[in-house]
Amino acid sequence: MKGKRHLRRLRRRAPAKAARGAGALALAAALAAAPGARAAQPSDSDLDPYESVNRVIFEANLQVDRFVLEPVAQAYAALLPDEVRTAVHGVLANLELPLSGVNALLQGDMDNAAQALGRFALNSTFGVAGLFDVAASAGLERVDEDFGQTLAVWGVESGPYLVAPFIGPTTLRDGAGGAVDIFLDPTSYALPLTGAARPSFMAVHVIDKRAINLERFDKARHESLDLYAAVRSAYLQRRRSMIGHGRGAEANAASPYVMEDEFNDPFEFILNE
Amino acid sequence: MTLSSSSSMSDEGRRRRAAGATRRAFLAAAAASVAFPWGAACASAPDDDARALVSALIDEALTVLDGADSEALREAEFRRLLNAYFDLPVIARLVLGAHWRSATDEQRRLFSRAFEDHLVKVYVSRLGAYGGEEVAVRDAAPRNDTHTVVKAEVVRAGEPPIAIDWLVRRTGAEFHVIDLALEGVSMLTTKRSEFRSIIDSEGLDSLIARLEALNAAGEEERPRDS
Repeated sequence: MKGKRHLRRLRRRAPAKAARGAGALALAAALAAAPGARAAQPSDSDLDPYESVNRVIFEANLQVDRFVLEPVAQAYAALLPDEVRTAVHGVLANLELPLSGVNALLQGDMDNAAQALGRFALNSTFGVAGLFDVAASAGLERVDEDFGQTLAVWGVESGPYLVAPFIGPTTLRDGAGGAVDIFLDPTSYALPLTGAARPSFMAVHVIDKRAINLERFDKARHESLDLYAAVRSAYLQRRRSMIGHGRGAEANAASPYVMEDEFNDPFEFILNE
Repeated sequence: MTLSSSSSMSDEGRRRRAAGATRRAFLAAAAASVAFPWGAACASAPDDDARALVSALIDEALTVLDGADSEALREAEFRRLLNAYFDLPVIARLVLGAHWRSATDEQRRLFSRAFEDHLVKVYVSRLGAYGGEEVAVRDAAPRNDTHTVVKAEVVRAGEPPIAIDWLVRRTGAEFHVIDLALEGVSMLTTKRSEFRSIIDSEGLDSLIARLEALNAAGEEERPRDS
């Protein structure tokens, strides 16, 4: 109890200090939030100072998607039976868990870390490397943590919204987090892929993700008047929800760093109008 | 469907049975909603009323998805549900934000009509992907004096559930849905950001014209789709 109260007190002052503590991350430190600042959330366009450049890259990415990625993902979905794609997805999702676990630990969220690592242990063994999701029936929930979220929990603000070539929507914080994740990922040390294996593995990963979203993205494209703005808004909202674990206030209370409901209310913009 | 029936996991089974029980509760709530208008039926706490409203809406929507065989019928039914359960005037106002206050009466009228048509199309298209999964209504929690968030989940076999949060607004004694968020992404917030971007660069009249054009484009495409 005392420990928890101490952490809560720490949390008030911690953000800037914690980010500075991660000294290797000069970029992160540059983005560190002013402690205690609880200003209203900035609008999407406030977060997008490079909108004109981003829009150009977004259009280019759409062309790459239209002529390369979407047809490949469509072929993948059409040629392989559901069972095979589900199995591939299960294996890939399982391999992401150690990184989620490491990030949950870095966030001080022991509950989430235990969920991620327990899920990985169960599905890697009894679930045959993730082919079967036995952890779900053991009551372990899916955990999806990355270093961008860890930085957010440490108090680093998102920085500007960016559209990266080929990669798509991100922010300065999430992009930097993604780069750190490459070095942080235990899977890449346990499974050192060499030669052509590495790009092939990454290609399957990208195709799996795109194939899952075939229908969803197609709908979004047809129902949007401004697809760029819709994707930007959805990305920023989704990241805020993930940072708040999307699981309500009790889950946030489990993490000593996460500030109360700041990240976890999808309706905040609407209610503050 | 084949996936879920082959699942023999006991926890999953329990969850599905629980969801079945909740569905029967929806039916009761839906029956009650026919007997009493919402305003008259609220002797209980506001959270319970908000939860019952969402339950009844989900149940009616699932019935439409199960039963309506043509796209046109589906669209007509969703328009009816949208008008019965959602506070469309409030939604139109919120989605335009500051631009609503500066709009003329004529602009407001035209926008409201085009936006309602747009919402019907968006919901029909999004929910068209529904494949018979159970939708379970979870907790309701007050957000402030007049708003309650009702949490629901699409329960899927072998995959994590999809979270749907519903924002319910109380006006006097009446309850209406004003927004819903899928996995933390609010429909109104997304639409508002999208509309704001167009209004800032082209103006409100252009937004209305483009909404009308998009709605009309859907009309032309449908015969080819079905």
